[in-house]
Amino acid sequence: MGGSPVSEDISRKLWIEFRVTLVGKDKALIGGICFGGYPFLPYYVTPQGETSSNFGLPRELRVSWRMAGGANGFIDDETGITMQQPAAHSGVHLMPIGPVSTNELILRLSDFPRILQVHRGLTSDGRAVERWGLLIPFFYVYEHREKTRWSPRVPAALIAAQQSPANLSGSYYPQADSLGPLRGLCPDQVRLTASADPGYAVLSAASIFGPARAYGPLPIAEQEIFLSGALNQGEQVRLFLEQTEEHERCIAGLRLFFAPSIHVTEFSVEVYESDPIEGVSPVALDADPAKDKYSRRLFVEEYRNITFANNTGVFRFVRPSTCRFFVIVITCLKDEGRVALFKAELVQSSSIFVGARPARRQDIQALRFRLTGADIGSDYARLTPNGFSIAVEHVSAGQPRRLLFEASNLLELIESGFAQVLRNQRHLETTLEVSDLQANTKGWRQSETGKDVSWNPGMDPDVVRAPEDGSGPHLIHFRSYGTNETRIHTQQIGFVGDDKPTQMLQDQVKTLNELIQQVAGASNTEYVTIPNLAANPLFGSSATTSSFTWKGIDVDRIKGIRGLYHLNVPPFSPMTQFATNVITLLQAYPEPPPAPEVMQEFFRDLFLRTILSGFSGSMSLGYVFGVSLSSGQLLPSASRVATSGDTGTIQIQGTEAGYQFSRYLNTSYDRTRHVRRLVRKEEQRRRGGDVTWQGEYVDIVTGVIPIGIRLPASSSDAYRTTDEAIRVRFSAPPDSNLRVDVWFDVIEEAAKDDY
Amino acid sequence: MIIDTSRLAGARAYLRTATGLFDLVQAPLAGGTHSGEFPVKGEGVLVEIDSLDLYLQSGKLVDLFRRQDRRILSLEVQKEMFPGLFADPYRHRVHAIGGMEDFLRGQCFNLRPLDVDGVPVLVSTGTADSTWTSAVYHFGEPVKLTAASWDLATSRLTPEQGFRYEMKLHLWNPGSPVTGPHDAELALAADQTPAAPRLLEFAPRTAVAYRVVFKATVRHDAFLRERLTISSGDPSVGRPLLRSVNVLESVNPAHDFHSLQELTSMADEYKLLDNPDGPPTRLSVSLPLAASLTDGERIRLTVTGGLWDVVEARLNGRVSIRPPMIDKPL
Repeated sequence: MGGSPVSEDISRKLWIEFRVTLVGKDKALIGGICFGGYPFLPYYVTPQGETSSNFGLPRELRVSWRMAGGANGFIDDETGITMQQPAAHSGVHLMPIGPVSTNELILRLSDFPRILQVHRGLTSDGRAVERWGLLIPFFYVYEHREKTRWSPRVPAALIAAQQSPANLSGSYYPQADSLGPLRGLCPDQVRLTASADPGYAVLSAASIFGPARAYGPLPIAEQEIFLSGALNQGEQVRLFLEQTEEHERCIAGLRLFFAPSIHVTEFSVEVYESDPIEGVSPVALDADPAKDKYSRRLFVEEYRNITFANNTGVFRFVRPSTCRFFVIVITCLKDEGRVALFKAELVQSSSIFVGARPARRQDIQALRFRLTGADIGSDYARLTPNGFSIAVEHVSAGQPRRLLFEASNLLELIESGFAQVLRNQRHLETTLEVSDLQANTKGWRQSETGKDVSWNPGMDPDVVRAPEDGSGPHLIHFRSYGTNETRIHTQQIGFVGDDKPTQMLQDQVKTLNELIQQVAGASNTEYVTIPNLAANPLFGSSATTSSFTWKGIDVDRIKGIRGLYHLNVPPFSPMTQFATNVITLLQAYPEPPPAPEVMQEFFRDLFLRTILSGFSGSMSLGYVFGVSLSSGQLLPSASRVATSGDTGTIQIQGTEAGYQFSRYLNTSYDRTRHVRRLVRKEEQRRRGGDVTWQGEYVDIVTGVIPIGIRLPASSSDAYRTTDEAIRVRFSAPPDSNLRVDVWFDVIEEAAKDDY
Repeated sequence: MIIDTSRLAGARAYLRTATGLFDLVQAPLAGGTHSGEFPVKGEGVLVEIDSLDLYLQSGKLVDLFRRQDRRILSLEVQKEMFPGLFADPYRHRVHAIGGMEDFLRGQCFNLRPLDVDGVPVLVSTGTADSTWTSAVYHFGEPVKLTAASWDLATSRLTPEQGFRYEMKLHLWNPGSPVTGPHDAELALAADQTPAAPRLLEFAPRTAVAYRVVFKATVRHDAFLRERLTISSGDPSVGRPLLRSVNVLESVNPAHDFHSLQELTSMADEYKLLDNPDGPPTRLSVSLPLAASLTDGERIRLTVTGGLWDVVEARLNGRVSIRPPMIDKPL
């Protein structure tokens, strides 16, 4: 993205904001973002320690996100990370922010760099023509995962390359004054090519830390290398580089791949660790790292007419360094030479080493470790099937090494008291069992039955006993008799003790006979008769002839049998004339029987209401007399039921068992013999699935080792020694069965000695 | 390399006059006083003082146990209390203004208090000038202010084009209402570059209240990688600037003695040496004194003239020397 030409410094007023939405996942667990600039942009270093193009990256980058769950109401939670890089490196940038569960990131890029327009030449005051802009070829969002990185090569990238003193011959601006505004121009050499587009090839220092461009046939090489300007004796090329992973690694040394036919034959190599304090760029235009108190020399050596094996120089530091920034200084020891490099690599230490730093005091409080592997807990005598050990040492100048902790097997780890083992359970599972089974069974059965079968004397049925009646002992026979007859007579007596319904019943029977007679036309014929209820059967006993208590029953309380009354009045039924008619009918019968007109009126009313409301009704007379009415929802109903007559059942039953006797004698013999011989059995040890690490079933050993050592900053006023460190050694590199993570609890304090 | 620590011993352990004498009385100074010093010189030297042994001889020794109008003996520790500011910590009280609460109680304009490297600091935002005006700190009694030092998050080695700033101290005189305008303004820093010393020693100013005003113009961003509580709509972050302002208040010195009674009561141990011919004239005192001195720091003992016949002072402590940084020579 290109902007307006640079006329005044408005870089900090320029910004752009992106909203990055992750598609395909509702909520992703984000570990951070990954992006890169364009490593081949020309640049010059400003007096502020900035690189003008910043490899196309903004100097300030902010990532903010919406917390999972949306607006959670907190006003002081961390929702963003800001990173300012006035001098960004040329490699891949990792900006860890996670783990953050979100699917939306807001990316704000501000403080834009200046992009040199090299083909436009110089302005009249010796300045280059520049435009505000950004150049970001790629941008990724990566998922959060815990992983252990273990490889010798440590990713690094260039911050800036400088030639001291400046020599702009052969550079982007060979015509510029080396003391003017472009005196900090990168020493990358530019060569014309045969092809018209673009017509030149740049031999940049950034190319030795990453992929190099292929130019085709060049007088120097087909592939891009770094070629500095011409150097005289004592002149230097300084390469400022930075580790590019999210965490600093312990760097044990450096590999430089020389271009032998071009590189100066007599030169020295110095490597410094750089630990700039707040506000100070790691790229200082005029500062000599050899005299900077915030830089410490890690390597120095002179080489005169030496041929490196495979043109690769390996430079091992005097001690590993955990600094993020390094400076490689190549000094020409002979007139007219150039620095020519194919590649440069930082090499990680096989151990973990925390030592003094130039600008920061370090209070090392504890060391934490985590071993993760599928087979750590399989055998207490070792850590992994291939064997592995870990040792933590405190080394100090002139003093014996102090072993803080060492473990070569799981049992030592547990016994140390520092470790905790999270282990999946093991059990033996039989996967194969082969057996030989032989069975031999012997036996016989014998049964006897009949009178002459010898009997158990105790069970002899011919027992002579004396009966209770004293008739003398006689033989007891197996014989039994039984008879049973059950008769049940139920008399339905209708109304008792209430003359009114009795009379009513008689009247109704009479009326019924009359109704039938009218229908049948046969007068004086009784179609329905009722039994004679003159005697009250409830009082048939002589005991009831007077009012007294008979066997606990007060006869005065026996009021008689009046039948069952039923009255059903639905809640929405109109209390109509119909109900009145029913009640009247029931109550009026002791009076002279209703005239046929009354009955007709009643049945008409009944009929009409039946029609109107889905009514069904019946009236029956006989031994069971009653009026029953039923309706759906509206009509009330009332009934009174009494029953008269007789019902009865007779059951006669008789049983007889005759003489019955049987005797058996069973004799048997069984003998079984089984012989099972296990021929072959195979078992395998299986693990349970209790402990997982990122979805894998593994054993985990984790621990905390208290350290309590304060490492001074080498720029401090006073200290006892800076030759002191905590070192973690491994017996072998972790293999595929084991992942090892070691980290320290360190409180850092800047030693700002700037007076 | 590691260099062992040794005890402070020999003639080096004594406070001596400017001419190198052990008896301070032998070198009178103007004003009728005598003094001796123990300076620490040399980069990488650390002297940790535990106590001071005094040998005092005077024909008026018994009388000096009674409080005198003038101080009879004074001990001064000159220490770099803040970067570049040398003062006696036993004679000053520090008012430290910093931290989230102080920053938030003030008024911020284009500045935000944020945690950077775990330290609360005022960070500039946006591109316009930034201002922070502290709350008015009102004291029950007047305080005598003598110096101020301030801590900026960015180093003095920052290129001078990075930012410029100014700092003022508004003072309210005793009796003035603190709700009204300030009575005086003391410019602590005026249009300064990052490299300028971050301190000012000034003539004592008595005030009952004060406040700090800080202004900055940021031109270039700093190196910064922090988790900051900033939402997406906030402007760009500029540069971490002010961490704290330390104002030094002068207090009665703890090591000014007006009588031998004051001296011996503070001593771990003292011994009056008998004089068979009369009252005792010699006193040996071991005075506890904790101080860690490095390059440019010193201890000075001043005694009033005309009172003493012999005054000798010897320090007890340890000397450490920082191992030199060495590199393999080319």
